[in-house]
Amino acid sequence: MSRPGERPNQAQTYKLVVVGGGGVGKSAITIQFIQSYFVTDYDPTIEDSYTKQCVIDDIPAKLDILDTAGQEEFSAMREQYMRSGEGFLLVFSVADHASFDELYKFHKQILRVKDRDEFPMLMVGNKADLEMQRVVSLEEAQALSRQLKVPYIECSAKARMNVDQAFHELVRLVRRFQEAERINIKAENRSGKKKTCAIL
Amino acid sequence: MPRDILSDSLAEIIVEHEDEENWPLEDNSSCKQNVNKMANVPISQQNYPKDDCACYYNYGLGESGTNRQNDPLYQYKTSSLPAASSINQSWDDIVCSALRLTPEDIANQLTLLDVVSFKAIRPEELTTCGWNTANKLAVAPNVVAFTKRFNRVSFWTVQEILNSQSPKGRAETLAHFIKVAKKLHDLNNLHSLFAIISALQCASIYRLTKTWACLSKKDKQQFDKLAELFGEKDNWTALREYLKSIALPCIPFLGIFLTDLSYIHIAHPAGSPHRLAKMAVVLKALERYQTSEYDIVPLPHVATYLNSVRYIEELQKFLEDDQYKLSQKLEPPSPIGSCTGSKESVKEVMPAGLTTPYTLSPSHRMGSGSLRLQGTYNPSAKFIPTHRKCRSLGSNIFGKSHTEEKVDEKTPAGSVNLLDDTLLESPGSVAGDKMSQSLPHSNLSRSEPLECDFQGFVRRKTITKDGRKISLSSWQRYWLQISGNILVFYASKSFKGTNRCDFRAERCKVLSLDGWIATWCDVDAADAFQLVNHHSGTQYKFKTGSESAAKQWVTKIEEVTNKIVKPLPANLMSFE
Repeated sequence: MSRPGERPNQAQTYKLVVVGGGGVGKSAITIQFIQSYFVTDYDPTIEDSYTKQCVIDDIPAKLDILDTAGQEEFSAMREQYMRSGEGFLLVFSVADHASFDELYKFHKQILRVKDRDEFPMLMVGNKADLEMQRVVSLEEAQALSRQLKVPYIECSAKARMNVDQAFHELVRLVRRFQEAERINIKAENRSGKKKTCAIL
Repeated sequence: MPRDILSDSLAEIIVEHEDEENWPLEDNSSCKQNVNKMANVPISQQNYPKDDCACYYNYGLGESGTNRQNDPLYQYKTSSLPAASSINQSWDDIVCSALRLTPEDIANQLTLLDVVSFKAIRPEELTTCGWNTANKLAVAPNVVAFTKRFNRVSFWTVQEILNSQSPKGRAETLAHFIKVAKKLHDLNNLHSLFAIISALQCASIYRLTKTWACLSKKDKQQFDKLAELFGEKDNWTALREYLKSIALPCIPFLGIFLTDLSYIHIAHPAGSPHRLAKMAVVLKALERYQTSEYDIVPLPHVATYLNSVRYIEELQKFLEDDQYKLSQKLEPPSPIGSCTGSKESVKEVMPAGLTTPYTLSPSHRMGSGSLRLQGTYNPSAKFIPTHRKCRSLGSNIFGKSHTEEKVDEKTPAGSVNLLDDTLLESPGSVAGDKMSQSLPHSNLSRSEPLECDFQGFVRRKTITKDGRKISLSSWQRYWLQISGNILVFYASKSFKGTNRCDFRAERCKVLSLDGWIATWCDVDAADAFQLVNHHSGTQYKFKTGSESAAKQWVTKIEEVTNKIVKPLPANLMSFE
């Protein structure tokens, strides 16, 4: 794993996974983020169609985004691709309550696959521009956010609102998490070292 | 007949059959025994109630297949088997477990079922991009049906593996499914192949470290190879490239096509000029695959069995939850929260660390044959749980972690112990020291009166014998022991395990070290050493698992051979 600062010329790669029910706009969010504008010759089948280099908090990063839009119904393969993710966007549509209800399931599944109590995730309420069709209120989403201990952001792929912010925020969460991991390991090493020192 | 699995116990999938007395013959020898046992029993006493003879009864509920022979019900069944001639016939009604079918039959029949379902998909189901919406059944019924097949095959695979109580039994089923996967790969059926690969990578199966540890290296490598094909890396490049490279017939994994269509749907909304052309490319590719024809003989009994895996789709997540709970019950999660080999091994080894210091980590046992002794890292230090870094960063715990590089990577010679920052000795030297110091008498004295100077697990291959090169030589597993000037071999009891207990107590070969020269191979095969007898023209190669262990063996053997006082040849004596 590369760490920021370790190799100044090479940005750390973050494997981010976009999950959510069918029709919540996962692919719209991803395309909006990867391509700054909709290009007509966009080819979804090529290798680097889901990667983007960017600078977040003055540190360069390469985002490798996995979006399985269209494959939602192949539920049996979900855990396999979740395993490789370092950060997850849990996307739902504020205009579709069923998609919101599904988040709990995705959250649980990620923790299960990762075998952890917490993991870098960000709840994303898409289609926030459709204020008239909104069925999931901000309060309701925030309540789930508190319950799952996963930050929440509302965005609109269509209006290109908060899309970059969502991905950037997730990278920050991943960075914080990985930093905490390193500190934990160091702390454990240190506590072990103390014992050895006492013997010496 | 389609069944709703939910109405049965999850661990029990009962398949309809006409007559349970047609139970297939599984083991001839046990059958004969049972016939003898039952010979004196009057036929009238053999009337077991029919309902108790559920054909899947050996599944779940604490029954493992191996206990079956002690089961009076089973004895009854096997003893009343029909004559051999009718056995083939009887299969028609009673297929009920994946293990009872050959991987080939399973793969073939899955493919036949898949190809029909795949061909039923119509282009308009795809262009509307409605297969994942609320009205999917109306808009894209055949896409939904094909997808369901994927999920069911996957579900069935998980369930079959979890049906065994013992890690060994589960590994057997796991290996069976890896073989099915290989056959599917040969058939270019990427749809069911991916379903099985997904099943083996789902949390319920992936977490079963003990089960994976029982899997042979070959099967594990096979699995790794197949799984690599379905890596999502670089937008599924591996899978896309592979699809391009193979000829028809082929059933592709529909998922990536659906993703591509979804993207075209968003990037080129209805009415945009490129939409149709872009979609046409995807549809044309699928259309070509739909012309696939498989020349496979249908086996109705297998198809019936495969089709019997049914459940209510809406309840799938609850069923998956149940599978996960069952998985946790079968192999409870480690209380110290660890997944890396070293920690696992500390857990396993620490309590018994002093009595069996050479226990290897279960996850390392098979692949490397490493002589690394994890329990000896720091036996006095208390284990400190750490975070499961390895898993959280998405590294593969099976397969790759069993390879030697990984082992060495984790504990390179002179590296720092993660637990206490102390410098670690190189794995092999720890092994060697420990072996020479603490093993000899305690564990072996009961079964083995021989005095032991040095011992350990090795794999041996014959390079030349009596001057002839052995071309088809394989690596044999032995427990090797130096006793005086004799090298003693103990054959292994099974295909895996690198502890003394995994090998037989009685020796199988002895070799006088007189005339033999041991040399450390070289840097290319650092963990190996050779034993050469130039006089007889025999050369053996031994793999020890680590460089320092190999060197230790060489040193020890040299010590022995140097001590052997060579009587001067008679003819030389006369010259003097």
